[in-house]
Amino acid sequence: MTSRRWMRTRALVALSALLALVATGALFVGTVWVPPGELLAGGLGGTLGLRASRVAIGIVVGAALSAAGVIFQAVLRNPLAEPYVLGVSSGAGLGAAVTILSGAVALWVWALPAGAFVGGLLTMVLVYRLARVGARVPVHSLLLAGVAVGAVIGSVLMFLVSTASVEGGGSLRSIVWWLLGSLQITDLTLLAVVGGAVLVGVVLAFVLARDLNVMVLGEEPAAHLGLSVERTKLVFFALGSLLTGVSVAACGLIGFVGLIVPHTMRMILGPDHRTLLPCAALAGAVFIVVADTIARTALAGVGTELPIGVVTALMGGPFFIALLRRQRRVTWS
Amino acid sequence: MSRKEPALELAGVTCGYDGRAVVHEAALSLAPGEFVGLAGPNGCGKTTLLRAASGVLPPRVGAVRLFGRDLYRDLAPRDVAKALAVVSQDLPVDFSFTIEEVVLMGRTPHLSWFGWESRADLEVARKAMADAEIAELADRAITEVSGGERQRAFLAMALAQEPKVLLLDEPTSHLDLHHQVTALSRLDRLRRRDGLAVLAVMHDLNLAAEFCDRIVLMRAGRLLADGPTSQVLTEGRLAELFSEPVRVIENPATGRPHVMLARGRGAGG
Repeated sequence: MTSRRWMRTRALVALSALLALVATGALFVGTVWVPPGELLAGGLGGTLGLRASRVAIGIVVGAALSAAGVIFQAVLRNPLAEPYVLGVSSGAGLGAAVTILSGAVALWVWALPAGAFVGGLLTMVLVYRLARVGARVPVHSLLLAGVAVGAVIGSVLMFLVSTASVEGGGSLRSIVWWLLGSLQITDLTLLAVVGGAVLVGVVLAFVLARDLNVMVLGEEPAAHLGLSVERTKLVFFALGSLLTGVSVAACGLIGFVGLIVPHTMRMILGPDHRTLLPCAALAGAVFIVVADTIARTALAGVGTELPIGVVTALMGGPFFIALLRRQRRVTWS
Repeated sequence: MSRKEPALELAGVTCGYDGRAVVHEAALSLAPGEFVGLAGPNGCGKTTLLRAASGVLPPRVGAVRLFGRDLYRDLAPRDVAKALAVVSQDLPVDFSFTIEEVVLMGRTPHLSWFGWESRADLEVARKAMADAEIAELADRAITEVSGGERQRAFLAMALAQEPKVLLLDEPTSHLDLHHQVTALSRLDRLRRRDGLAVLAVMHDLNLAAEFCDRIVLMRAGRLLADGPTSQVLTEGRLAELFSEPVRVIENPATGRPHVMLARGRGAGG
């Protein structure tokens, strides 16, 4: 047990150092090259400030989506569970869109993340109900339900976009921006709100991480160990939806982070969620900062940038297919 | 054995799934230190009865009592898990926890809401691993050990709950002859040493006859017989229950009843 604790500490220190390194590096890379001296001289009011806010939101969203993936995979005992695949991201996007179109965003700074959270949670519960066969949630029915619900929500979102376009450009731009995912957040209050919510969510999940270990044994064995399974599921669905919802509110639909990062970390660190959850959160932050740096610079030559959702999907799609193929041989239910 | 307050009692339990009753009016009690075998044809409701007794399938009619208190109404799940543990037939093992980590999960009902295991919990887990004879594999991944070793790991997890009642669903399935006997001897030692009340679904009537004080026979969701092993395992009753003629003799080595097939091959139908 001592060795495990030592491994957790070591992994956390190493990942924190890596995150600090990557985040600092990302400040000096961008669409245009600004010499470091000039960049630092400009202070936070200039390019450095823009890049810093972008790196900050990347850290927050990467940690949130990765932690949400860990949570959903454990509670559903399904290695392919992930906010984007489950349709939770789309649900959160719809919640955010409805909040924007209703005008509630102007009234209350929490309206956008709250709307996205509610949309995500309702979708999660709906997908879970649809996928459930008796007491079990088979892998394939979960994926089918997630994809189907995600598709329906996606079309509703499209419909909202097309009607919004009649009224004016502002709302439309925001919603299209969501569908692709972007870390171009300019509202620092929203950044603070989302950052705070993610911090609370990740810390709570870490405190409850032992219950995730027990849930992985299966619902009935978990109940035999005295866990209130239904309540535990609800708490973690809420935490996962919170983390997903506020990320979507800030940055739109960024897929597959919650799939790639938790899997890689599980392979390296083992299944104990008290190690896995915080480490996956840090690694998710690293992943998004790197992915966003690629998104910013890959097409810099032609004077444009890629949506980050495109970058993560390009990496995540093949990863997902590889996992799915492996699933045919090894069942994980 | 003296008759004490029942550790576990099923009072007129009717239960099932989706409006269909699988077990009808089951009445059964289990005293501390008693080893009771539950047997019957496939699909007669043994596992369902065990699920109702374990706290995960509320009875539609009747009550389950744990030391006199209604398991579903008077006790929180945590309190149930402190007194009653279950060794399921087949737990999924697609997670590479070490055996020690798995066994420590047995401490769940004893930890506070957000608690992590203390040194004392580790001591309990180590003792449970010693009792289940799996201590030497503590650091091995549960995914890498044999079926019998895995079963011992889950027995150790159940023992780490420090239960007074242990429910087992076919504890000897997938085990060879030697391991079947050692598995049941282990349970026998524990119930004699700790006064653990044991209720086990048993497929092999002869193993049940060797180790159980009492045998409960089920047919089509109802309890057919419940009594001392030698009185329950009679030729007429078994022949009728399993639709298979049998002889029951006394095992010359142990003096316990022994069930033998009464017709040779090719007589099926």
